[in-house]
Amino acid sequence: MSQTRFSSSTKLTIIWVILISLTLSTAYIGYLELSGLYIVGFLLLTVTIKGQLIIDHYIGLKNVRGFWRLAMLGFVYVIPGIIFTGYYLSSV
Amino acid sequence: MSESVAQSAIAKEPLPGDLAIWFVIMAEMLVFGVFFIVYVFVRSNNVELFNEYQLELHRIGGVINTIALITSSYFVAMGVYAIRKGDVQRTGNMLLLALLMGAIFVGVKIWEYSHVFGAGIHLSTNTFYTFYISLTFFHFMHVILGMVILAVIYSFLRKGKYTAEAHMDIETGASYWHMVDLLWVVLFPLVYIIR
Repeated sequence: MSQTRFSSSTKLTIIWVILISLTLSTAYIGYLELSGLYIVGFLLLTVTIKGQLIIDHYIGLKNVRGFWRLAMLGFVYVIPGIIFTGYYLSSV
Repeated sequence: MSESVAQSAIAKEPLPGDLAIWFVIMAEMLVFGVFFIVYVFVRSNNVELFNEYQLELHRIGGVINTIALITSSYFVAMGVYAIRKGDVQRTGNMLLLALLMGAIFVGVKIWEYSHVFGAGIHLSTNTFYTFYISLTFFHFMHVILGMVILAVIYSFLRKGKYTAEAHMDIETGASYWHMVDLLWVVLFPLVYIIR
């Protein structure tokens, strides 16, 4: 096992704090029942950030090169992108 | 020069866990990805209906479940970190905490479903609920399966099967569990919040 694959326990904890903070920001927007393209964009940006943190540091793909990491990252970049496009098209 | 050697070593880093689980993960994410896209484009033809019924969902329950799954993923990642250090006891504790968080998710979800179904809502009530019930229930089944996997891994751990050098099963189960978390990270704002 390489030392490079997984993050230290401190880093894992810091990432958990970031993930929870982003979740609470999403919850607050839900509580306020905000809507609009900027809000949708912000919420999807938090999805992408959270997704990349989980993929890189919790799953441990940060230093894995090639198809698998790209495919996983594709999910948290492409899917939110398509979702945003769908919301944009339904708002014009 | 030494930096390029180090980068070369990083480039050869293998996938965590068994290769087979990665084909499963890719298949699952593809299915959910298509499901999410269909949701968005069906919604685009029923915006008012989706916005109206989305407000009936228990958002607090969704938030609690998101926190539970993220925290569960954190404990699983800490468990993998601990077994790499050879700390079997701590790994076991982390897996139990992850299972506890999973149980909270299941409990909140059952409570949420009891309210929905108790109100006479079902799959064919309207298009929004068709998606809400099918998407969340499909994900719920993955949570249950992930918990079974973690429980089996915990059982093997208690029997002394894993060490700092040999613990592929833990990485495999952890990868699956993180996927379940990742799917919810998209599903929660999409179905409960974004309008």
